[in-house]
Amino acid sequence: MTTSATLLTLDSDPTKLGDFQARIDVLCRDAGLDASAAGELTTAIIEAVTNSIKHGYRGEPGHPITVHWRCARDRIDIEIRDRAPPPPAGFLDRTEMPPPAAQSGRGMAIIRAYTDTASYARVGDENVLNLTRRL
Amino acid sequence: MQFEHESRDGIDIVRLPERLMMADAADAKAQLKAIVLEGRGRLVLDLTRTGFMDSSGCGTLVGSLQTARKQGGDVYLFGMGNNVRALFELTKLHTIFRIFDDEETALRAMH
Repeated sequence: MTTSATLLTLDSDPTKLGDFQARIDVLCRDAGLDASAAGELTTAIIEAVTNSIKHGYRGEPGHPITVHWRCARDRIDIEIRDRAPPPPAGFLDRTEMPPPAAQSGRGMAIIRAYTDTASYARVGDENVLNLTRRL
Repeated sequence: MQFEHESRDGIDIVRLPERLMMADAADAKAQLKAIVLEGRGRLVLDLTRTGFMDSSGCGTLVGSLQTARKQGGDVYLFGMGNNVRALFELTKLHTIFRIFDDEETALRAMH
């Protein structure tokens, strides 16, 4: 397995998420993930990007999100950057799944369940979320 | 996005699309709510085409379930693929929805 890297950029337009999901799914399968693992990692990335759009950019199109995908021998590293205001402190710690009857609030718990590590940093005026998934 | 919808013996059957995500969530919720309120609150959702769903999609389905149950009805699901089923188990949604393998079984159970 050779190391590969791909940089994806997308607009904060929610209607673009479908095509982006398809693209991420292809990357996952090309990296050797089986259908189940590809589905999980794709979902985690979509949840993270959706959070950027919905909470960071308040659903407003026209703002940049970059996803840097790096596939190494034993893992996949995903870095998601946006220029939205910083998220609330401790947002990454919301790992508990809401009750089944909840209509929202599952995103972060899904991200944490479907990835091996998640970390956040504010770098200049950018939010930088790093996710990893072991192969 | 307009859902395919038919009524059969007082049961509303809706064919969900390939993806159920954030962009469609508000519209999907509104459509399903309207179908439930205009019908008898008995809704069967076909997920055979739904290869991808995220938490927004989960919220949409939960919303339709709550609307249906307030009407004295229910929402049954069928045709769930492996990835959506795994998400349901992670989020424990499989504990509040009845899920069937195929349409006829779901419809028989709804009667």
